[in-house]
Amino acid sequence: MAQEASSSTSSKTISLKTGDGEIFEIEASAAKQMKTVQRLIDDLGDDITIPLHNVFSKELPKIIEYYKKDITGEITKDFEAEFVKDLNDDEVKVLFLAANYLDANKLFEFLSQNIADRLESKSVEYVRKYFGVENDFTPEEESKLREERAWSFRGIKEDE
Amino acid sequence: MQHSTIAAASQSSRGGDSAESSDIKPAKKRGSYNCGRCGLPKKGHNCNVKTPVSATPATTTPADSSLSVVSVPSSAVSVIRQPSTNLRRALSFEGLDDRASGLDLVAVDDKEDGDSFPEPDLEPDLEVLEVSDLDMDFDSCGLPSSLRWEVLRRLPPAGLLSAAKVCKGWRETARKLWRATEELKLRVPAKVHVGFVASMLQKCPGIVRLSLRLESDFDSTMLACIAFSCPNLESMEISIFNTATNRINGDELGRFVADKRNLKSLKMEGCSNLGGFVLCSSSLSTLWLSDLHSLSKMVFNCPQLREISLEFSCQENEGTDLITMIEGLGRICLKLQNIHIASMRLSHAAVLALTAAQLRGLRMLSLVLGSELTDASVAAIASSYPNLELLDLSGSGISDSGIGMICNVFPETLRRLLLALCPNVTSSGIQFATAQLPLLELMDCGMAICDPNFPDPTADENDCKSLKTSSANLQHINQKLIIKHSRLKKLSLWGCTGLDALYLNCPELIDLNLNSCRNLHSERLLLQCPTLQNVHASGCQDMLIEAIQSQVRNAFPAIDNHSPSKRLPDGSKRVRVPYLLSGESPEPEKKRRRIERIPCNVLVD
Repeated sequence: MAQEASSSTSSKTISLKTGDGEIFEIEASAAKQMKTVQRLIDDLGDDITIPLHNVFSKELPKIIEYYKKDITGEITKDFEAEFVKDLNDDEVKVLFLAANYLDANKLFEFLSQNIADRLESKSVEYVRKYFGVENDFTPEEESKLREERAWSFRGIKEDE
Repeated sequence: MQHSTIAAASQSSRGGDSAESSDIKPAKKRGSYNCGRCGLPKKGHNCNVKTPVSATPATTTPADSSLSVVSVPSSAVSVIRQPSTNLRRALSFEGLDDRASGLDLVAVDDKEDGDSFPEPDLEPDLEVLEVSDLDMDFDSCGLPSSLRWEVLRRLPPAGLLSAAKVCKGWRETARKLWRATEELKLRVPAKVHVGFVASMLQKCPGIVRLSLRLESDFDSTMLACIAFSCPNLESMEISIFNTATNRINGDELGRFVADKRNLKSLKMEGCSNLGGFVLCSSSLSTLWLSDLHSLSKMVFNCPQLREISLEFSCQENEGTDLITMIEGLGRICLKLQNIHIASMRLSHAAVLALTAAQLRGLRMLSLVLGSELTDASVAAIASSYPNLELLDLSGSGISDSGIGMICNVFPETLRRLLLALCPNVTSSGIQFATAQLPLLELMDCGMAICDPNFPDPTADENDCKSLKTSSANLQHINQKLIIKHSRLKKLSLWGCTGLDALYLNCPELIDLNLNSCRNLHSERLLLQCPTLQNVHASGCQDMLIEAIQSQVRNAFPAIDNHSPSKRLPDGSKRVRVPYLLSGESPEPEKKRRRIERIPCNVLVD
């Protein structure tokens, strides 16, 4: 049955099951773009529902939407802008991690850029909260870093 | 005089330098040798550097995305006419439209690095990078290190500096990114201390390509700092903006060039304080110097030099001896392929010095602003260098017979011919050239057919003076051009106020410049150029602009531009901006159409 798939990949659909138990269908050609999925298909065959423990029903549809557009070769800047327009920072992050898990290169690169763009204008504290990072600098180290940055971006600062 | 505008244009072109960061072993940390404040070596050094300053947040403001306007103010010169930029662009190896990339970087930006960062497994030094290995280990830094890298590398340098403040892990990733940086483009605002530049350079010891856009003075301290911090430097580009001054003198430059054993490319603006120099380098292959002024000595001991561009200032007292300089070039730099000299003092003797040299590899020759150059010079060039691919004699006294000579000698090789601001060229000469040069891809005849009754408005100078007032003037009005050429891609007829009829049949034409073709009659225009993407029509009559628009629209019947807005199946609405308002090419996204046509813009700004 696995052989069947290779001859008619263009029309075949693959079933994906998210971590919270929902099932979604995608075209085999879209599945090819997600290397993790493809690997699982290669191992398990394409008639079985592929389990994706780390991806959930909230984000998978969006990812599928992206790759549906990708196989028709229609991904443009406009499309990408629309794609992320209504997503808040947390949703983007979740998608980003999912894309990483799925090893979906194109989406991953696009989202990394989008996150970088979003972070550019944010404060350090926000970034820490966003990623759940703990500030492990000592106060001395912090003030040294602050000093280094201060002259770059804020204007003349006198010596202490 | 007219040449000032040409000189201006040449300041700017930077080919699209695609940045590449790659596998660079981190330089050995110098540790305590450097002064912590300004980065210069501590030895014998008295640091009175206050904490350095900079005012700018790093927001990238992209330069105009349309090709038509490039505004690179330079202190010495007057308004830049967009078409003149052809002169410089044409000389560069890069494609004719590669302008945008270099000038977009207003901010400190090494984003380019990230884009072409190689796959991690090519980087044995940086063991954290194993993107292929799905490392979902969320350490205390919130993201696995591989993901951290992916996000951080896409931040502009300012963002990267901030990111280092998040936590130690992030600082480490940022540090690695800096060390891997190969190319850095910095904008140095006014009143910024050299320490700023120094500190940025210290972060990236692996810098191979450095580009500084200076709004504060460039002096020997900064040069020394670069020399010290960038051991692997291969390419350096210094551009000077606003009121900044380039204070480097010839000795300092000479020392720099001699010391940098890997330096392959050097481009520097504002070189008015050089005074005189001797450049010795066995690695230098590209050299661009502009705003040169009254140099007592110009010696180029650079046997590997392939491309040289020298732009002299247009001030009255500019008195560099070009002949000696060219003789020297011809003696030592035998591998020269591209030469660009812009100077009002270009003379026939200088051309003879050039033709006497045995520059067997010469392919692109550009001698502009030399109003004294005549057809005799053309004859000399044609006989010594019959294989030219680019010939630019803008601003010279070449006439139609000179064009005849060009067509005799160069039909098998010449791809770009620029004869802007040549008052003795007429429409028959232009037409002859387009008929006789089958490989021609770019032709610039700006201001060549000038109606003396209509001085060009963009020049505040006396254009009329430049035209020989004689019966020859009659050849400059009511001119007609019929051009049929199978390969021509770019045609510039800017300022041809004497032109009143134009018939173009050029199946590969991409860019047409009709700026200030004030007298071009809307009823006497026929464009049969299906691949046309841009028509520049600023300063033209409204009726002409309309005629152009309707002609280019009719050339693309497949494109649906009747419905101003369209509701798409997924419910979203897409509104098409009318051509006249859009400053940018619409996305070439209509792949579902069988015939793929990029709609043509008519640029009128």
